[in-house]
Amino acid sequence: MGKGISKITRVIWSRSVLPSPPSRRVWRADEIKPAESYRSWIQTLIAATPILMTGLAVAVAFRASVLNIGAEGQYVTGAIAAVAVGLHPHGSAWLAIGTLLLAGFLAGAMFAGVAAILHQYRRVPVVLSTLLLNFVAAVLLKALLQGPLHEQGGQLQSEQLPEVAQLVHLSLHGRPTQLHIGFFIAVACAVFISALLRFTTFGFHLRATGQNPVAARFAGIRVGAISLATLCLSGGLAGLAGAIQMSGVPPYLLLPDTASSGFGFTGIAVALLGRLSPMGIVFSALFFGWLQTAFSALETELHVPFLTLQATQGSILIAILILTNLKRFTR
Amino acid sequence: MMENLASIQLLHIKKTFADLVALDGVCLSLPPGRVHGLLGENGAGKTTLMNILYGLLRADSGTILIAGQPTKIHSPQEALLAGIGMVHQHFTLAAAMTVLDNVLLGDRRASRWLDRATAAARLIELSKHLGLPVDPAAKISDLSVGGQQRVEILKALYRDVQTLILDEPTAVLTPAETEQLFTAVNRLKCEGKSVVFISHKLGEIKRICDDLTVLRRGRVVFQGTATDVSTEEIARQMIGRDVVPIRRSPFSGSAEGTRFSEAEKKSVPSALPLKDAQAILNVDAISIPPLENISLHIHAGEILGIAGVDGNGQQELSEAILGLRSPASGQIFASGNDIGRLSIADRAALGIAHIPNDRRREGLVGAMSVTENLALKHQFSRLGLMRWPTARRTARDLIQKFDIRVPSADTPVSTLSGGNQQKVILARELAIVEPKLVIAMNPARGLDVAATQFVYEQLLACRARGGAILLISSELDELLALCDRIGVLYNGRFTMSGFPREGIAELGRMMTGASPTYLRSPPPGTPGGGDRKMDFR
Repeated sequence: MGKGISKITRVIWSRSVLPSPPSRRVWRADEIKPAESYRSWIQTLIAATPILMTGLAVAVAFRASVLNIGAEGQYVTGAIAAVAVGLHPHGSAWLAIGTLLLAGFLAGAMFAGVAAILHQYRRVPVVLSTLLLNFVAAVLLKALLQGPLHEQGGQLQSEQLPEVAQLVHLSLHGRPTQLHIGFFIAVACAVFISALLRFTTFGFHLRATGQNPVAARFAGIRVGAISLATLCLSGGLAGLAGAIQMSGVPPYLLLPDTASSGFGFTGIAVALLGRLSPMGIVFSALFFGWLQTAFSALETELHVPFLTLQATQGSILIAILILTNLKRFTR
Repeated sequence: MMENLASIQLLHIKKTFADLVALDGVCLSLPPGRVHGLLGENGAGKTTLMNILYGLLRADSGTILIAGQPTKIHSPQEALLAGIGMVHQHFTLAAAMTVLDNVLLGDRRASRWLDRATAAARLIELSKHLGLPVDPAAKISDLSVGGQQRVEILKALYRDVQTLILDEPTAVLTPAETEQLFTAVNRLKCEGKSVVFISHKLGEIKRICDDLTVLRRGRVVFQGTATDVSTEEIARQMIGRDVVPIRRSPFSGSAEGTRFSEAEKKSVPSALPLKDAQAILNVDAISIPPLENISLHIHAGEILGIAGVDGNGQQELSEAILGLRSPASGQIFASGNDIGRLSIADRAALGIAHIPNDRRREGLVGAMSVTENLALKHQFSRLGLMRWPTARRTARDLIQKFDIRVPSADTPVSTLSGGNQQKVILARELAIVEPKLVIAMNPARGLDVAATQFVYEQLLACRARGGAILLISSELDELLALCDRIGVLYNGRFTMSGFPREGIAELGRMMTGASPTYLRSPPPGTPGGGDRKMDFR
C-alpha cells in the first residue's frame, strides 16, 4: 500500500510537476529533449485552455442566475462552425483565424440563443432547454460528418484545417512546442469578463439580476434582456472554446468524439471551484488541467485507468463545496 | 422571589457575530402566567435572544435554565420538546398545503399514519378555545396575513408549548385582529403559559405585558413591571434620548388640492378624486385585478395616504404607477403626460421614486455593497461604463448625511439592520435624484422608534421641497400623522376618501370593508347629509 502511494506520488511529481532532470535517467530519460523538461507544464496549459473557456461561459451565466448547463452543446456547435469556416480560408492567416474564431463564437451564441428565446417567449426553463440542446448538437455533428463535412477519404471525420487556419504555436529554445496561443486568448477572455462584470453597466446589471431579480426589476433594469444577452454571451464563450480547440490542437479536425469531450460539463465544475470569479476560474482551470496531465501520466506509466480522473475531479469538487459551506453548520 | 417560580431563565447570554456584540450578558426570566414584553431598536438583540432560546442560534456563553435545570437547545425541534414555541416575523408555512397539514408538519409525536380526523377535531377545539378561528381544510395561500398568523400560533400551541414567543405579531394585523390576538394571549396567560411579546409598538406593550425588558445594543437597559414605567420613559430607554413628536406643516399647495369637487364626493366609495390637470400624479380609472376603476391624484407638496390591510390591491396600485404592471384599462398621467407606455426606467427618470413594501426583496440586492445598491438606478452609468469612483464618493456623503451605520461603503447591505437598510433605500430614492413623486409603501414597517422617526422626517422634508407622496400603509397612526388626505382601500375599491373625523376607529372600520358611517346614516340635523361628514383638513 505504502509502496503504491509512493510510486503514484513519484509519477505525478516527475511527470506533471517537476519533470525529472536528464541526468537521473528515470522515465525513458533518453527521450528528454531540452524543450521536454517543460512538456508537462505545457500539457497542463493545453489541457486547461478549453475548460477555462467553458468555465468562464458557465460562470458568466451563473452570475446572472441563468443556469446554462449546455456549454457542452455550445462547444460542439462552435467547433463545427469553426471547422466549416476554417476549411475555406481567404486571405492571410490572421484573417483566416479571426473569422474562424468569430464563427465559433457566433455559432455558440446563436445555439444558446435558441434556449434564451425559448425562455423569453415560451417560459421554457433554461436548465431544461440547454441540457436537451446538448443532444441536438451531438446529433447535428454526426449528421454533418456523414453529410456535407464528410472527409474525402472515407473516415467518419471532417477534413483537416489547412495550416493557415491553425493557431500559432509557441517556440522554446528555437523548437516549436505544442502550446498554442489559445491559452492566452482564454486568459485574455478571463480578464475581459472580469472587467465586464466589474466596470460596465451591463456587468453591474447582470450581477444585480443574478443576486436579486425582483429588486433589479424594481430598479428599472431590463431583467429579461439582460438574461437573454448573458445566455448568448455564455454560449459564445463556449463556442469560442470549441473553435480554439479545433484550430489549436491536433488533429485539427472534427471527429465523432468531439461531441463527447466533456469540456462543457467539466466547465461547470471549474466555474464552481473558481467560485464564479473569472480570476478564480483561471486557477481552477489550471488545477483541473494539471490533474488531467497527472492522470494521463499515471495511465501511461502505471496503467491507472484514465476514468479515475473523473472520479477524482468529482471528489475534489464535492470536498471543496463542503468545506466552503461549512460555515453554515458552525454558527 | 420571582426567579424561583420562573419556568425558563436565561442567564448571562452572550453572542457575537464577527466583531459585532449582539448580546452582552443578557438575563431574562419567564415565569408562568405572565406576558413578557421585549423591546428595543432594530439590531438591539431581541430577535437574536429569542432565536437562541428557540435553538436557531447558539450562545457563545451563558445558560438556559428550564424548570431550574440547565438545558442545551440545539434546534427548534429540541425547543419544541422543551415546551418553547416561536412565531416568527416572517412566517414559515407551506403555502400550497392546508392549515391542518401545516399544523401537523414536523410534529414528532404524530404516528406513522396521520389520523387527520382526530387532529382536525383537536385543532378546531384549540382554535375555539382561544378565539382564533381557522378552517383546517383551507389552503394557506388563500388565507390573509392575519389568518396565516393564527395558523402559526395554533401550530405552536398544538404541540403543547409552555412558552410562546411572538416576534412582532401585530405588524401585519388590523386593529380588530390585534384585539383578537390580545384576547388569545390573555387566555394563555390565565392557563399559566408564559408569552414573550416582541414589538415596537409601545402602546400595545403597555396594554398586554406584565413584565418588560428593554434592550439597547445587546444590553438590558430596563427590566421591571410594565405598570412601573411610562411609554415616554420606555421610548427614551430604547433609543437613549427623547423622542421628538412629528410636526407637519399645513398643506401649502393650491386650495383645490385639498378639497374634493362635488362630483368627486359623489364618486365615493368607488373612486378618489378624478382628473386634475395641475396634479403631479393623475391615476384615471385604472383596473388591474383586484383593483377596480381606481382614480386618484396628488399635488405637489401633498401626501396622499392609502390605508388598508395588506393584500387589498395596494401592491398592484403601486406597481401600476411604477410601470411594473400594465393595467387592464385606465390611464396614468405624470405632470399631465400619459406615462402608460413608458418603461420602469423611463418613469424613474421622470422623477418617480419608490420606497418598496419589502425592502429586502424589492428594494435591495443583499449581497451587493452599499455603493452598488445606491447605484442601482442608472445614475452612475456613462457610455456603458459604471463610474464607481463617483458612486463611492456619493455613497460616502450619503452615509454621513443619512447617518447609515455601516463600517464602509463596500459593506454588503444584507449585514445591515433593517433601519439602516431602509436608510440606504431612502438615500437612493430621495437624495440621489430629487423626486417629483414618491411611492412609499409601509416605509416604517419593522423599524424602531428612532428609524421610524427618521423615515417620517425624510418624507416630510421631501413634501416640503414640493414632492408629491403616495403613502400606502397599514399603520393608521402613521397615516393620520403624515397625510393631507387619506383613502381606504378594501377589496380593490376605495371604501372611503377624505380626512376622517373619527380618526383611527373610523379608518379601522373602513379597512374591514364596513361602509362609512356618513354614507350609511347621515346624522340628523346635518345640512347636506353625508358629504359634509368628510372633513378634508
